[in-house]
Amino acid sequence: MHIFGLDYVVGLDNFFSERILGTEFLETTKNRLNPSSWVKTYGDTLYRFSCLRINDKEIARDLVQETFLAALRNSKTYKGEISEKNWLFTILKNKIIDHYRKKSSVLISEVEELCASTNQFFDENEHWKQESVPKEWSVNYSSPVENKEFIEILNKCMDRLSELLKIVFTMKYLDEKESDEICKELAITTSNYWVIIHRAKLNLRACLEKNWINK
Amino acid sequence: MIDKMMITCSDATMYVSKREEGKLSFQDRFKLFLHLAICKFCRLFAIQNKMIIKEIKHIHSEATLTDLEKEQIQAKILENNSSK
Repeated sequence: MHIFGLDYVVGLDNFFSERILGTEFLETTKNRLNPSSWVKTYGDTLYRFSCLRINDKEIARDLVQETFLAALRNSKTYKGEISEKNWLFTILKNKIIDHYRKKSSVLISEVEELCASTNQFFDENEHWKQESVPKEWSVNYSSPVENKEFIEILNKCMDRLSELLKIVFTMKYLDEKESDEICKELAITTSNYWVIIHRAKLNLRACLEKNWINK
Repeated sequence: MIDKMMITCSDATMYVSKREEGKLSFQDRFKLFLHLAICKFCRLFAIQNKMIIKEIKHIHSEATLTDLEKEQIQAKILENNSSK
């Protein structure tokens, strides 16, 4: 009852301040940092975002912690123009890119290895190998999948991609970045990029067919 | 002439991605078109690929931080916040 009453007063207060002071005032009062509630409010959301992009759970967690600490250090630069949540996400995204960059030497050797290796899906004439030929799926390809299982298996197949394939595929299709930007951020060439995306798609498709359609 | 117009399945499946991003020349688009007209497997690849990249937006992680991890992070925040 007490909480209800309080909510009511706050609501009324907002109502009046909106009328009297305009929305500008409201926005500045809304977007304030509240570090003591960060973990509770955004901890899991940020962690999930991080886990989808980083294979190692411990590193994913550390990046979330670093995000909060960096946010504290830079709290003076926060002007309240964007929400606290978006601000924390921006910091986390930068932390993730930094992490990729730190690993770039490992990633580059993986790129070289990948480009030198033969594509397991095709024969010496570059046609589909008998065992990797795509099979018809008994689904309506154009309608959205209502099957939760499909998404779950897709998720697992993503985890089975090598780190390099997963990173590039995620940047392209989850973060919806342009390929030029991805190449720049990861310091890879355009032709590397096409090889990586090609392999990622071949692997994902095969993994889905094996684990979803033919299980 | 005909040989020049023929591409392999490996090329065709890569061209599918390039076409999707609008990075395929007119000539290569035509080659891909021809290949897909005669190759059922690459046609399937293209259709299934489209479905995958559409559905990928729905994947999510169910991971959560443990209570202990949350406490540890919270403690770090408090420590840094008070030392400012």
